[in-house]
Amino acid sequence: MIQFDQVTKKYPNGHQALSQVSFAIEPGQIAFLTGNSGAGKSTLLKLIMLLEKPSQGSVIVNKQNVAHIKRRHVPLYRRQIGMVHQNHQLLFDRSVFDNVALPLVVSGYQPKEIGRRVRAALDKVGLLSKEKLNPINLSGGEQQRVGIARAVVNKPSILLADEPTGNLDPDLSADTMDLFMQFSRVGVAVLIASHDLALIERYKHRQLALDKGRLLSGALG
Amino acid sequence: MGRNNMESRPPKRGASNRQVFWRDNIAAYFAQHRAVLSDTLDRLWSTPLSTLMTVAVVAVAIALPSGLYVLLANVQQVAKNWDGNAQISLFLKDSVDPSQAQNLLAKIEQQAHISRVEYISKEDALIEFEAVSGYTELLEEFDENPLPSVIVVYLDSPALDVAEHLKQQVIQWDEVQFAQLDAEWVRKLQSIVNLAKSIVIALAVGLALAVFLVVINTIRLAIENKKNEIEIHQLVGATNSFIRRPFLYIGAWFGLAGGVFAIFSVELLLLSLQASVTDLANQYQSQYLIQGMDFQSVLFILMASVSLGLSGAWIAVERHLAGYEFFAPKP
Ligand SMILES: Nc1ncnc2c1ncn2[C@@H]1O[C@H](COP(=O)(O)OP(=O)(O)OP(=O)(O)O)[C@@H](O)[C@H]1O
Ligand SMILES: [Mg+2]
Repeated sequence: MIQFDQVTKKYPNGHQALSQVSFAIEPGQIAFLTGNSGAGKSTLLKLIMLLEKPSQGSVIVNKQNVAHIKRRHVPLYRRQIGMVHQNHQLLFDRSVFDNVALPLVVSGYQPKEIGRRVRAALDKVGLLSKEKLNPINLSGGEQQRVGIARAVVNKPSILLADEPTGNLDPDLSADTMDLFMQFSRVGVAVLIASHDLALIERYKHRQLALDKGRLLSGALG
Repeated sequence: MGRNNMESRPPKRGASNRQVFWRDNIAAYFAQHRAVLSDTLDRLWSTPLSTLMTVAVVAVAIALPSGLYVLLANVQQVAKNWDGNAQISLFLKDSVDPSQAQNLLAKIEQQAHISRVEYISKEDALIEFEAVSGYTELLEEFDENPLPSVIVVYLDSPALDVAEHLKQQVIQWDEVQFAQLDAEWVRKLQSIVNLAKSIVIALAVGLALAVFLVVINTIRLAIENKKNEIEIHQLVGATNSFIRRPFLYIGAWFGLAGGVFAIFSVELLLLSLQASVTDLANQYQSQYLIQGMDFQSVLFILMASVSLGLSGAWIAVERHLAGYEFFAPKP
């Protein structure tokens, strides 16, 4: 479902964030992407999301080489991926509900359907009672969960999560992992970048270990 | 592997995505537009001062050429309605006395195409002048009456060549100092108005360009303020047309509001002019009702201003979107 072939990413300033990374993740699989700060975890996720392009190698998602996706098809491509961003990427001039509704609104869903799905997603992250609040008035962990709800609201076929549990206590982290596992059970490929070692240890999922841009282990899952 | 099926089709949606029926799609489409419509209005209301400034600039730039054009159309109308038949004014030399003038009248009446002739002695001319102008003191400055005696020849034909022929003839006569074909004046006025109209059109084009630039700049600032919002929308799969939509609405609002204000101010100007025009017309024992803008002109102005707003917004958004480095080769 997600396949990296000898992918190298060099940023314009010359920094090589990823070096010849190869791996594949199948539908229904959950994998942790681990590594120290600066190892290249976010960079790898951004390559999948088409927020960056690889300098070498190919990224293949749903059997499509993303390098060949036309500009006007990028939005449609992104709609099949739900992503929890490391810095949340929420809009602070609208409510929690509207933030979570965003992927549905841009995809042209009917208001009734939007309401139903947004509440279901908010319920899953335990924020149903806060739908009318502005995310600025939420705690860091709550904001993170708004981001998680937004990532899953569109029922994507791929879930990318960049430090989704960074601001969550162990109980909420476990709830979040449960949610991701529910998705993986219906065939969603889940890739979680994290350096929350306790969490990673607990779940025994496959681990892709990055170190200074090189994939140390986990290439063959 | 699999790079072939990428080219032709957009990627497949998630397997669990529910089939959305076209009826729902259309309903959702209109719901989206309704939302954008009220959303953009709210946004404009929330910054009343800058909104008003832009609308005012657009309104002035549109009102100026529209107003001038309507005024010129009125002048043209007046010229066209000028008493159809040509008339020639013969200004007599000072040396011509009334009895000589009477002889001259008889001589003119024998010519072809004469409807009637009218003799205005210098004294009559003075009285009429004072009555019409009210400047009695002005002429007292002169030792003697400076006005010439005039014979006005009314022809029975509007044909300018007939009048011109007669004019050439009478100008040879000793008693005549100077002859003026009034139709000539009308014709000159016509050509001046036509020239002025082209100038107004050129002005309109220039001002339209200015409106265009103002809208582009205003929308550019609006985009700048919404940069983060646009980025987040793009992260969750918003198409360019989705991103563009609210800004197009804002541009259209600017155009529409500017156009409406422009039309109102032009009509107001015409209304305030009507009083003085009525006064003026009364002096000539005539009436004139200023013609306002007809429905077509109003429609044209509104359409022009809305399209200016729309296209300005479009360009501003395109320029912004082009700056985005999507990871994808340009098609
Ligand atoms: N846009 C950029 N331009 C230049 N260098 C960058 C850019 N983005 C990231 N980098 C560099 O690439 C390296 C990998 O960054 P990345 O964000 O992928 O790390 P990470 O593994 O997500 O780290 P963290 O755990 O702190 O989030 C870092 O050294 C970073 O400084
Ligand atoms: Mg990171």
